[in-house]
Amino acid sequence: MTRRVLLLRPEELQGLVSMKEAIDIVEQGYREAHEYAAIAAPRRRVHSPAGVRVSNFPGGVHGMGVIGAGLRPDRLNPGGDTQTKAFRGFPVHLVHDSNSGALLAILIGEVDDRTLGFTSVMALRTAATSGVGFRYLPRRAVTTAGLFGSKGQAANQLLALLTERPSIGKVRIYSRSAENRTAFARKYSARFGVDIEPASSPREVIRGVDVVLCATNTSVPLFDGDWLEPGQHVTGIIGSNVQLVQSGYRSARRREVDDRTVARADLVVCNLRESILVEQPGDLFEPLEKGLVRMDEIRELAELALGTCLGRTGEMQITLHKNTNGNGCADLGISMRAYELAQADGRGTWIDLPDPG
Amino acid sequence: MTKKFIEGRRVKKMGFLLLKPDEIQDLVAMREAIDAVEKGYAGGHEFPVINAPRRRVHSPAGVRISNFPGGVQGMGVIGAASRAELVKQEGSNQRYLYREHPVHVLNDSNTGHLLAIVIGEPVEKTLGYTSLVALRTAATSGVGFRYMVRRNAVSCGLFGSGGQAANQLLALLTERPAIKTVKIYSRSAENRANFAKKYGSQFGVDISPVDSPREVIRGVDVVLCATNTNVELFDGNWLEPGQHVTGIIGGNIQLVQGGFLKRVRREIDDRTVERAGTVVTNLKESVVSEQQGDLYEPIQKGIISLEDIHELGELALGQCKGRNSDDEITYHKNNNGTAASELAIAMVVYEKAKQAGRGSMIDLIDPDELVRRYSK
Repeated sequence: MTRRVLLLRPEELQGLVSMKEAIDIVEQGYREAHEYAAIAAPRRRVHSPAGVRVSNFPGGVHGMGVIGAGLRPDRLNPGGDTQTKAFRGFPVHLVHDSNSGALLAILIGEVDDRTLGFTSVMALRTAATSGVGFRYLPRRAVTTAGLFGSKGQAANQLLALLTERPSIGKVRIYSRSAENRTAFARKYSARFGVDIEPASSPREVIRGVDVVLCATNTSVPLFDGDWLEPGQHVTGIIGSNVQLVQSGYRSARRREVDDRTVARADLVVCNLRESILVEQPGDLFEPLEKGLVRMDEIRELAELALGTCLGRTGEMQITLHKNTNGNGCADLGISMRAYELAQADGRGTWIDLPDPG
Repeated sequence: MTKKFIEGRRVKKMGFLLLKPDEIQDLVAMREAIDAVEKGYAGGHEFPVINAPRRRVHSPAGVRISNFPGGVQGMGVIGAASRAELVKQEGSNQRYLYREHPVHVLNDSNTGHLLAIVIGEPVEKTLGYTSLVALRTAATSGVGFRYMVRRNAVSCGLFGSGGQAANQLLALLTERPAIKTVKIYSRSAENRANFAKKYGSQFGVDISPVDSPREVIRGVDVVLCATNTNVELFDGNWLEPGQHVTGIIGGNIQLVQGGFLKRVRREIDDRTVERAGTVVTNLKESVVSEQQGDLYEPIQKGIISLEDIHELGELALGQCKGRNSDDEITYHKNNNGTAASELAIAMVVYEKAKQAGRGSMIDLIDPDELVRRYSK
């Protein structure tokens, strides 16, 4: 007896999943994983001496009928103030039925937002995870955002924010290259129907906005936390892992927001507290070590989704979501949706497998 | 990687080899598996961040994914192996209602490129499928045999008569071909007689069934434990100078914590640990994190300290001799699998399959070309 497994390649994963769907899936994944913790695991990375690293994401969303594992290889250029990649490999996702264990599909390649297409590594999942935070943390009446970064992550993060807070009409953008920020402003103003204005300094991008989005590849803090204003929400996407330091690839942990931001935030939300211990991301681990924040004060994304953490409880609070790193439940949920849509669209190649003995 | 002209432009095309269960059956010899696993442990000892411990996730319906991320730089591979099982707990027994083929994702550890996706259980080419992860378990014992068994060993005592026993014995005979006499004991007289008949001729050695644990140990050079026992197989006082003992039961404390077992699994008794001059285990971290009874309990009783136990990687790197004299009793606790050993064997499978022209080459678009075509 044989059965079929759907093999999907990078081109066949394009144009399928929307940002709204992805945010809903990630929220469901985190919520279920909070109630049944054994289905989720934090990202775990392994590194070769030649600089190749493989990021692993086992997990699932039982409500969608999926469990499995994802992995992504890439090769890093040696560290500096930003992290760049000499090679980015396609992720591979093994999609199994969470009721039977049977392998349903092998996805090779990135699942991107269907309107943005391929932009950057894991941009859809990363933005959709920020999106869960946007759903609960920025003030309801927000109208402005300040954006760090001008590439694919920035486009996806901004789309996630606009999806959750469509009242935002003005965006200020800063990136180190004036040319890039101008190009981003022109391209995405028209696309998203908002007014995007390049700013000439980090200080300027933060002044007077309601939401601060960090969507760069920095390895050092982007701004001074003293600049933050009451009521602002900050989302950061750099997680990183201490193994990069342990393997000699970096001399210090990566940072993106400074200690002052963590100290001033009335509410700090991470994706999974376990990741803080496993990977020791600098932005949270270092303030913890310095006593600026306690572990039991840091809340998890799922607590927002479940309502066990109310999120923002005052208009003047500063809130921080450290989108610390991926979680297999988010990746497998999005992969499952892409598989369902691709199958319905007749995409991919079926491969026959014998039934296991 | 090949270069091709696509749409009038010269672009890199990348592809990977897809291998299915029926395409990986008769490829790997035990010696190749032992060599690969040895490289895995050596590399992991020198550069630990290339491996991570097994991580499991579970669905509420009982599906369990076991994820083994890691690699072997000496073989040019990094990636992950993944196993899916539908597990049901029935009384004190764990039963598998479904075991999916394992999937191995192999990337080049120098460039990051996807080399292969290997679906299925790698098996020893002369033995075929016998029992779960038997090749990897035996090849790991094989690294111990290479360094710990006396050079002049001629006889062996074997506990167990299933697939693990066949693979363990083959690994020993691969490393010590001078062994010609084997005594076998298992609880079923019929099983041990069948094993003796079948593998006596297949391996070209004299295998005689014996009817007690005491008898299987008397006068042999090597004692192999290849059963699924939860309790000690023999009395360590029976061991004789110069003997080497290998055991394969790891066991994890979660089995006790979860109520599946009343006490931690054992296979080898405290007295064996006490008498052994050299004690080696695969990874000391697992002894502690999983509280594996055979070493964890003697450590707690003060019979041995963790510092006195060596790791397989130290043997492979020459940092531990494995055996100090012909009279020494040596003991290898093959306590669990690692990503390095899984990926090492999968890499041998891939290389052999490629040489044999097996599998399907799947083309992949170049990532830069994907960006050009699909950025909107």
